[in-house]
Amino acid sequence: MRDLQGETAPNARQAFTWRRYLRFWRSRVDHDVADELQFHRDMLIDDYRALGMSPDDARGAAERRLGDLRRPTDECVTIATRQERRTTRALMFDALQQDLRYALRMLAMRKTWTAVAVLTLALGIGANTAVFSIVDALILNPLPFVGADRLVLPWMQEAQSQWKMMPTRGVVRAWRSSGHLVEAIEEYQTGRVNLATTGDPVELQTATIGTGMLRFAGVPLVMGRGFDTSETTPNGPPVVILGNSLWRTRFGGSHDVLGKRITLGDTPYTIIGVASSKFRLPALLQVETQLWLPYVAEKEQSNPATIVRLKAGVSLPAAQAELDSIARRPELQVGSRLHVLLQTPRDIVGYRDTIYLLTAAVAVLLLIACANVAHLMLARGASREREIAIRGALGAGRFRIARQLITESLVLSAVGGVIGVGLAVGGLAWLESARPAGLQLLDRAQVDWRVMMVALLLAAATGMTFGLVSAARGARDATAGSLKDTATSGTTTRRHGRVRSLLVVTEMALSALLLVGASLVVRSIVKLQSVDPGFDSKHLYSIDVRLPRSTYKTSEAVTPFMNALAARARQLPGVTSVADVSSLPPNILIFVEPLEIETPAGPRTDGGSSFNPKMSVHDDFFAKAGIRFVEGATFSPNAVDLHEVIINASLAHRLWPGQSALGRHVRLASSDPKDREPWNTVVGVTADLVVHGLSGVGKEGLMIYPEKGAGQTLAVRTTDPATLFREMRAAVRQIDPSVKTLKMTSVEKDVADTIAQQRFTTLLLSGFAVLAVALAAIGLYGVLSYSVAERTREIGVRIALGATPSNLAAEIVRGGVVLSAIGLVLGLVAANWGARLLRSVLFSVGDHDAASYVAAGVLLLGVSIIACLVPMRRAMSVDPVIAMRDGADRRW
Amino acid sequence: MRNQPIDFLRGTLDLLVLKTLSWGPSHGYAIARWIEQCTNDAFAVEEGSLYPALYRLEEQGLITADWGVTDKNRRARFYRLTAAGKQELKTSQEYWQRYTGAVSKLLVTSPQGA
Repeated sequence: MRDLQGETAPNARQAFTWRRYLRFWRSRVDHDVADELQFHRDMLIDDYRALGMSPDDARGAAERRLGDLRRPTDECVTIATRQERRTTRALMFDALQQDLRYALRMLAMRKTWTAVAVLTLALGIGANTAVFSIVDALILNPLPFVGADRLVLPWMQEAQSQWKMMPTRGVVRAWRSSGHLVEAIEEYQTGRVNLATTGDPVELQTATIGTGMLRFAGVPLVMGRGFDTSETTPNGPPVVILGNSLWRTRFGGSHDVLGKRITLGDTPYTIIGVASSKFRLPALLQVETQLWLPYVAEKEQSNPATIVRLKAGVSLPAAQAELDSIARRPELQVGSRLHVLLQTPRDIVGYRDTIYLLTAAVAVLLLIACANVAHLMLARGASREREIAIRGALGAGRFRIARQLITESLVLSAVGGVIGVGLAVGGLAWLESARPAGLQLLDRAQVDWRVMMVALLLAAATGMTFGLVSAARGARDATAGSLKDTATSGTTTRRHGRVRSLLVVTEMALSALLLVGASLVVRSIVKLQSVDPGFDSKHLYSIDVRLPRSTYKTSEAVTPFMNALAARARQLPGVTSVADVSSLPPNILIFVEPLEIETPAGPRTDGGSSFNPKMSVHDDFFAKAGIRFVEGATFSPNAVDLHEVIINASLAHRLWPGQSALGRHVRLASSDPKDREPWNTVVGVTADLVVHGLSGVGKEGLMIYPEKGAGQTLAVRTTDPATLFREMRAAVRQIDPSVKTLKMTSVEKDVADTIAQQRFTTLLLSGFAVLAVALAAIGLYGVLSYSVAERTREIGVRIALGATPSNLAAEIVRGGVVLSAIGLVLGLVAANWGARLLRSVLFSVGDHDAASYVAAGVLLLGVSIIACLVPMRRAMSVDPVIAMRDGADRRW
Repeated sequence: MRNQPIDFLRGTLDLLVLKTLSWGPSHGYAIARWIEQCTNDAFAVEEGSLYPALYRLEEQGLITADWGVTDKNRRARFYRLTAAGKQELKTSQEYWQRYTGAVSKLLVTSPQGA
């Protein structure tokens, strides 16, 4: 048996060879094990044959000796597979570690270069991360209810004016009882209430909800229970569910608040639950509800807001058609101009256009950052050609070198990403402090793990983008045999030149796009801020008393209260005038009735909106508020009896275009003849004034009636608002302690706040634009100055040969400017197309506003000329001899 | 009974394999034959236990394996002792000698009381 002799059968040998090739591609452990055992078997057979057995007998004897080898084979395969996997992993990890170490070393070697690249990336990624966190909170997930994709908010809308109102209770009842596509429908109402404290009363945001709302939302309470049916009846027990933030701030998040009492107005309410911070209502998307109260239909004064969950698979148009046809039933008395409008929670997110705009802006910013870093890589790539060529010559494959370059890019973008997330967190904190009052939802925008993931993806995508570009070039360099002096090689320069030209064009185009957008918005806000509000809001304060309707049913009851309050206000220091009015801009009440005018052919209904703003004032209000008359004058002493009315210029123009409105007749056209007012005679036409907002000036009509008794809002002009507020609060308590609600604001600030959204958009967009232009300027400067510096040698030669500096300068600047101009034109064309996105946020600035385009063009062209001139001056001041000797090494 | 092959005690096969490889690299078949030969066929090395043992030792890093060609020009997997394997052999050998010495001492001693 010791003698190992004999031959393997020819076919077995062939199998070996074949498998060997197979293994060449990838190692297959099961084949290895089989081969090894086959070898053993062959050796056994040889030994048996050496003992004189016939081939068949020898084979049989070998099989008998070996027995069933299936289990040991499996065992071997298992062990070997396990081991191989471990080895592969270790190898890969080794290579990765090596790449990383090398990348870090390369980056550390060029600190300035790395800092510029990382900072550029951080700005791009940071801006995107911050904006994504806003998009995430406000748009992707505005209402975190169960079946959120089937939630709709029904409105009754007038097609013409786009005004919309809540559906009446009758309509909602009909929907609930006969809407086949409706799964559930819930009503709620929002309001405010004063929390009794030892100090000044604190006004809280409240919402009333029915017994089913919590189940409808599917957002469980933090603790406690929801309302039951006994609590939603008019005389039910006073119970309240705490909003999450109120619970945390006022009750310290304590777990034994259940059963405690909280005094609202005069009534103590028992706390029965604490709501989750996720539980929000569509009408209060932007703010958090602080207190939840039972919805008692009988106590509510206006139509409730409704929220509907459709059955699964129901399309919006189908649902709209069904609800509309139900609302059309004659007994529901819905005006013929109104139709049902269904909105999704996403539709009602305020600032939606602004957010989309910002998303587009930061995406452009990131592209610019990418272009910048791509150029940085390129510029460095040129000086690394030798290194890469050497590595290639030493045996590093294309793939190996490409992997190295991609690793470097990814390391770069990862560092940029980390810093970017930091910037995003800081930026959000800053936004939180700069946001307008209405955008409270921003507090939900935070950098959580989802946002982190997006930042990570962004960083990875960014790194891959410019990494692949440089990798593709690096791999080519490695095989192009560029070990020869690349500095003098004209072809490399030209090849880089092409990519670089592309980068200049791209950066110019992108910056032009952003700059045009920003300047459109800036010009728009400038125009908005200079809109004449039509009245003097300086030092004007609104004291809004909401008298309880139970005790103040008629104007006879209201007048003494308001007169007493006004008398008190007049005595205060600093007060120059006091007027009582029904409501003050920008919070004018609206009446949902179309207007009709008297014509020789009889009454004619106004074709404009049937949502008509209306206020009532005394005859001296116009003088006190500084409202100008275009035609006519203020009310006569017995204006009420004479049915006098004053309208604004917009309404006059709408009702009687091109004619004088004085002496003409107008009235609200009620659908019920019994309620119809008598004809009002127009005695004056005022200049346009703010009705609901600065952007509406010149568009919104206004009817001003003579006040019969006293309006429930005091317009007080004073230089000492603090005293006014304090004394008014005391006066109200003195005149009637049961009056709890008193809202005091600065009218000037209220009016300014009507363009808060535009101001905020402008602030952000111009911020991004400045950032973009800065990045692009740095980038352009880098690219152009690099290409000029690269020509230092050439410049030196040409000066030595007698070229005049001015000719040379003109030629070089022309080269840069032509490229920039191409980019600029592309960018302006793109901006012209993209500006339609802006239309909804622009005010009296067309999206083709020439000035914005010219300004962007001039600014960017200026930047590119400077970017060419500065390095050129440096290049020309160099001694030609030095320039020719080592000019080509002047790289960064 | 005398000519019946001896069953392996636990761990013995590993020790024998390591000892065999300490003379030089070898393939599985040669290892089996070598063990049988040196012990005058007292041990029957079963292929079903030998190969899993080899793979286990390889996984533990005591031996390594490479494909090579025999003097008969056949492809075979050759095993070789690693540094760790040599150390392990030394330790196991000493242990084994202490163990067998103690056992044999006990076996040759006659009972005192009986």
